[in-house]
Amino acid sequence: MDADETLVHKIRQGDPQAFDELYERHGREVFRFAYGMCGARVAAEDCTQEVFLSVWQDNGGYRSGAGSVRAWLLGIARHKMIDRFRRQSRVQLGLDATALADTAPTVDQHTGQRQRVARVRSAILALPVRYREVVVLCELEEMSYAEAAELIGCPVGTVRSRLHRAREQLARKLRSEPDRLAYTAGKASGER
Amino acid sequence: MGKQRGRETINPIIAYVRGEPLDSAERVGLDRQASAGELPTLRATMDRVDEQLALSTELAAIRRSNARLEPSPALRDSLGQYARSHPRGTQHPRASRWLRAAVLVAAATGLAWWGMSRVERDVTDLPPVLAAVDPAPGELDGFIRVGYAGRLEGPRAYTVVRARLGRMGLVNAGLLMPSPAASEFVDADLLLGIDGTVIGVRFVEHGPWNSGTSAGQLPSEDSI
Repeated sequence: MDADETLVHKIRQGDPQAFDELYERHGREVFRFAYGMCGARVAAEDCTQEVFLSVWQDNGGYRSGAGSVRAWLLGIARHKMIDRFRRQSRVQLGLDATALADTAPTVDQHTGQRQRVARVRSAILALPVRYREVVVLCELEEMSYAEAAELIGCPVGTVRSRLHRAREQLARKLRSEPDRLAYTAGKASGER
Repeated sequence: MGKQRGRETINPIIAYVRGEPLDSAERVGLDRQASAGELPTLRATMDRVDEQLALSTELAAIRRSNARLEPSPALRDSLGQYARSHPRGTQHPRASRWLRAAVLVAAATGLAWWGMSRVERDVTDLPPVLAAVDPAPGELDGFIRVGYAGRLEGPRAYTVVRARLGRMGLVNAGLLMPSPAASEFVDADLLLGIDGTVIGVRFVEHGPWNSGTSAGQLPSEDSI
């Protein structure tokens, strides 16, 4: 039993310190995944909170030896995000104000790198969920194809092909709008 | 592409178009394609590869940017407080699932029982029957034998049921009523045989049409 599994076992016994430690170990990762999926800090924090509350309230879903605790937590986060998208009935595309504040160029930080990051983030958020999740898992969280396949519940080949199509779509989108954000920022500053 | 991240790969097509050194075998093959007018295809391929390489670079930049992303400390605090203020039950979660299932089954059973009792109540609430009483010795006094019934025998072979009857029903039973009004009702004890057929009627209230018959007493609330 590895350290994470021990923590889950302790949480099952009602140990709040183990719960704190599990959050310290994986909270950031869950948050990053949720943020990658929705592009909004508040929604990502909500999702992270829901994931850990469900771990505390009922962690019966974790089976020892069935996979890593990290993949299990990200799997819960994935379900929460998909539920959220279904509730919204339409995925909120684009970055929210907080996300843009993290990445968008400002007067002081008008660097090409930041623009590119914001542009690619925006393109990722515009992908269909099934493509977006493989990009977030395999490209941003550096998960192996096998881990991502287990988490999503599909064959490894499917992850591979989805990632290929996702990258194709991203490249096409970036090609069609090479500098949308830069243009927007330039226009905004020109109007001032 | 995704798997090749971090690995130095030189695509021979790109190398050819860029004029980089190539194996002679590769160069011969690519020369053949170029002379067949396929160079635009090669260039398009090169552009796509370049795009993907640029995309990998940009995704790496997002990874680096994400490494700094953190949920707010308030979230950690609120989760910790929640865990301390809501102690977790130590029972195995599967047990709680069984408990939930048992509660559901009990609720369904209760609902079914309630439904059945509603049906029974509806039946017993049928308006004509007021009470059913066992006949005691001497209680057969005052019964009028209906037309089709035989001779009244011993008291223990019958059941007396108090009911509210329409006058037309009494006429049908062979009891002639003066100017019966079909919509009127009258309370009466019915004497039932062991097969459930009515063999006698005793009116519990005197009326203009049943003079000469003796009337029983309405049972008290306690005796019903």
